Amino acid sequence: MEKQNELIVALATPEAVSAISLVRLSGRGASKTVEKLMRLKPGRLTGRKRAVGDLAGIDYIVAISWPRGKSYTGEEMVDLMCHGSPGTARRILEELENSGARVAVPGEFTRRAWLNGRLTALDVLTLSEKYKGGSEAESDLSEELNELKSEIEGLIEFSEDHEISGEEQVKVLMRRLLKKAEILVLKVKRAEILPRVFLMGPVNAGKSTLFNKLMGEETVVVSSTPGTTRDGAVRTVSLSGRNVEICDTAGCGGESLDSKALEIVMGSLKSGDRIVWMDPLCVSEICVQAEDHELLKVCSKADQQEKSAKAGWMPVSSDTGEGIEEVIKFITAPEKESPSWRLERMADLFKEAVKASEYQDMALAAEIVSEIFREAEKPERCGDAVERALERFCVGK
Amino acid sequence: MKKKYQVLVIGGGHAGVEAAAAAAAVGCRTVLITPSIEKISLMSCNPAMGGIAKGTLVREIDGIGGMAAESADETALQFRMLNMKKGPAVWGPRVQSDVEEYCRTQTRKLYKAGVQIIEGLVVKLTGPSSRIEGVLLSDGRVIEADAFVLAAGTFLKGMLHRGRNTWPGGRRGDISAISLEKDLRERMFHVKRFKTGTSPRVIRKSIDSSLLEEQVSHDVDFRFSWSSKGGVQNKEICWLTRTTGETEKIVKESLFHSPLYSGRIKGKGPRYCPSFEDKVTKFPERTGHPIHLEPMGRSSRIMYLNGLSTSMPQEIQDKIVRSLPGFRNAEICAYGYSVEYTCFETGEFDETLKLRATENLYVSGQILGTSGYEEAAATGLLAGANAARRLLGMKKTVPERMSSYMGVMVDDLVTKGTDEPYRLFSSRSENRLNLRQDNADRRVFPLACRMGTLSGEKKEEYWKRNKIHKKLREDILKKRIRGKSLEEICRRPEVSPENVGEMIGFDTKEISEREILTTVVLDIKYAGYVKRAEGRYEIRKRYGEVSLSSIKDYEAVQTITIEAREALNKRRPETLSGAESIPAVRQADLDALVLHLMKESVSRET
Ligand SMILES: Cc1cc2nc3c(=O)[nH]c(=O)nc-3n(C[C@H](O)[C@H](O)[C@H](O)COP(=O)(O)OP(=O)(O)OC[C@H]3O[C@@H](n4cnc5c(N)ncnc54)[C@H](O)[C@@H]3O)c2cc1C
Repeated sequence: MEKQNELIVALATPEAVSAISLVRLSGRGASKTVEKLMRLKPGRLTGRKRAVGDLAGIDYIVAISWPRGKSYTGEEMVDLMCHGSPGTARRILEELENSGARVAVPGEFTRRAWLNGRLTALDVLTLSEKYKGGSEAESDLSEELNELKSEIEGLIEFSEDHEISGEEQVKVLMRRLLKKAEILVLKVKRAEILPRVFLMGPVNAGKSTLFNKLMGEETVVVSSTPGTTRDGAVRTVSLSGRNVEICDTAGCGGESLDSKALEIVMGSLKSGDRIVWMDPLCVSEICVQAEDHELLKVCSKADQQEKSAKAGWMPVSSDTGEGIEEVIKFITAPEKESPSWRLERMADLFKEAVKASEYQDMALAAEIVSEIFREAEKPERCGDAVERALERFCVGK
Repeated sequence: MKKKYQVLVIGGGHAGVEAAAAAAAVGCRTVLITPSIEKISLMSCNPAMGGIAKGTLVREIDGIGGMAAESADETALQFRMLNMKKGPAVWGPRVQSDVEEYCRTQTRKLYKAGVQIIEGLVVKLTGPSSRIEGVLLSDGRVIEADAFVLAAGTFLKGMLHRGRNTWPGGRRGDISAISLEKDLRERMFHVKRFKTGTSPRVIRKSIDSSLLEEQVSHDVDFRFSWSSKGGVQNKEICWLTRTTGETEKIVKESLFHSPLYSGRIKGKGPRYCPSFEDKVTKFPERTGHPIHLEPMGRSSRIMYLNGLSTSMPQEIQDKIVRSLPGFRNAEICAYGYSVEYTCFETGEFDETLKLRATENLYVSGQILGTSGYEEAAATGLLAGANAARRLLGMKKTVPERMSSYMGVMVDDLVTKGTDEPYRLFSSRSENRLNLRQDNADRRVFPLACRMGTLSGEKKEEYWKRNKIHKKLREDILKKRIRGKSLEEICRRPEVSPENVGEMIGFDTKEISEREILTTVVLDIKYAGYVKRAEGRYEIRKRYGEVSLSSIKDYEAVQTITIEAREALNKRRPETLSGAESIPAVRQADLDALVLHLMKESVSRET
């Protein structure tokens, strides 16, 4: 990854003729660099300042500086506003590059903001939705949460004295936020890295049939002779609004053990992959490291079995559809602590809060809203999803 | 030489009386000095006790043996439960009181507690500040003692304001404690100026009550004190009226008369108990502000206008009042005014409410920067008990933030401070679902036992209630209904304590038994939230033990915000709790610091 605090520069407005173009500079030495190019007194742009003047003979510009901790990225930053011709902005960029700045990669400004704690992971995700052209609606979830919190507190502390009748308002706000959280769950799920699911188990356990069932079409040769599926088929499908990669594998374990096929599968397994282990008889030994994976044990072809599934095994039948819903739920469940997982939790909490308010317990609703707040403000880095969201940003954001 | 008095309390307001009674209960020979016995525990402002969070505080006071709750019950004219529709955790019991009766009742209780009362005005403390020896009264007497509790309320260099007039006074009809204030300043205590205001009072028969909305007691059995017999009865009617657009217009046109807006009052006023001038300025588009008409006593000919606090000139107050429906011929018998007074800066007193620079001078009530009778009474109790305990060589007792509003208040005052008169709010607590009025006795009982202020008789009563509580809780936890545990059923939002009572056949008319049912069910309902809140607090509390000395340069801690890094490098707090008190350091930074320290200690070991 890029060095933090390294001086980066980018054009923040579209490269086209417009009234003004904005060039952003962030990192150590941003102010000094601009001071030099504009021939200002050293220190002129230290802190939150504004300077107007000529920049290296290129253009008459406005420079606005922010100190560390107060800027968008959290670093020392200078915004340069020049006349909006692409040529001018280009030359300013070059001049800054010559002075030691590096051209930023997409999302780098926001990434720095995130790393410096100026934005939470959730902010980044919602921001990215906004820039993708998503509706404005989601972008201010935490702002609205704040509003909701103060509305409820006002209602609790002052409604008697001052007869504020905000009860309906609070309920409406809460329902609206619930809806938003639910929409956001779907969007964020899409932004998150695909979960990979391996269908595994002894030969002829019905893996390909289930695979096809999940695909919704016959794409894999299905035969009842054990060992038909030799090289795993891989497909990306959208299930319950979430893209997942599903890998059908050759059988492993059972009578006709195909050690080569198993090796291939094991070689491609990564920690975090989900495994649906299928066995109609619920007897096979599971040959993967359970702690590295999320595992669902499935008693397949459940409709054809005489005995009911053993404890810990979920009865599933691709023919009758029994258990399919649970399998999909397992496959698409958000990873623990991932943004969508947290958003789902938030949506659940909103439901509880709405209910509490309906039974005239605003104090409880307020407590639940606080929990939502803590969930939303959690600063931990949710790796992949955020990285992915950052890629969406144009350079300069 | 053995002095006649061990603890001497200055000021017989709501704080002073509780302080004196508590010191006596702990076992000290106690004297209270106040200018007038008739005005002991006088309600300077509205004739009522309780409210949201404040009502809960009154019950906590009862739980540790204070007098306010019982006196409020005995002199109650009417009872209302505020916030009935906002959830039982924030119900706010409030009673109207007979003001004169309240003074007499409190005085009687003081004598009964064994407190000596001397009429007099303290003009000076004697002895060095580090160890006060006595007080000098205006008539020249010097009274000595071993420990002191100062509870001078709004009297320290009190200045009253109305319109363009300003005159010295502690409150209407009382003199200002000017020399005592001067003495405190000369002793180099850090002080500040706050202000507060009150409403005009009107003659009852000049009001046409047929145009007003009647208000009677809520139909709920209630009393503040667990020792009071039977619920509060309705003895008086209150009325509700609303300001008309006319009222606001008069105020807006006359704002330049108000000492608040012409800049003559410099002290900081309460944001949450605003003067009517404030309300009109802050919400210029609103009209129809509710004004409650409350009798000052049973069959009193004087009514208090709650909600109309103002310090406008008299003729404008007349106009304002007469613009209210039913008030056309209203006669004001005491005009509203505001008072500006001296109180202590944050940091001057510790968590036992002792002034840090002294060994034996405690402060309580309004001079801590609080506002309200309830807040005053609670801090009085704590200061009085701690003064006595220290004197007798006993351990200090400090209420816990997580288990009482008292704890919240003391912690806020000592660690956060306040730059306006501090009033309790339910939202000041992180553990609001637990700090309820129904379980106040249970929450503070351990504190009461440590403090030694609860009488044997009251303790007996408590143990009796506790027995019922235990049994009831067991019954509920055992019970299953149609395959579901009753515990689970309790958690459903639609299930009320009464429902649960019906399910297990717990049928009683007794107030305290019904309260126990409520407590048991609500405790079960909110258990998860309370446990989490307490968990978070426990972690925060341990911050004080976490040393930051191993971090040489915060720039190296990349996981915290730049703002935090800079602030920490500049201030270099010793422990995490020091870091916590820096505004630029957020909760997330604290978490990240903990992680950093953990990683650091692992890498040092390997
Ligand atoms: C005009 C006015 C408006 C108010 N408005 C509000 C409001 O809007 N909301 C609210 O919550 N509260 C309000 N109050 C505050 C409320 O009255 C106080 O919070 C409460 O009474 C404080 O209790 P205390 O015991 O600290 O002081 P007080 O009740 O003021 O009692 C102080 C006692 O000390 C005595 N004393 C003072 N100096 C000396 C001395 N030198 N020697 C001997 N005795 C002395 C006095 O005579 C008095 O008895 C108002 C008070 C006033 C006067």
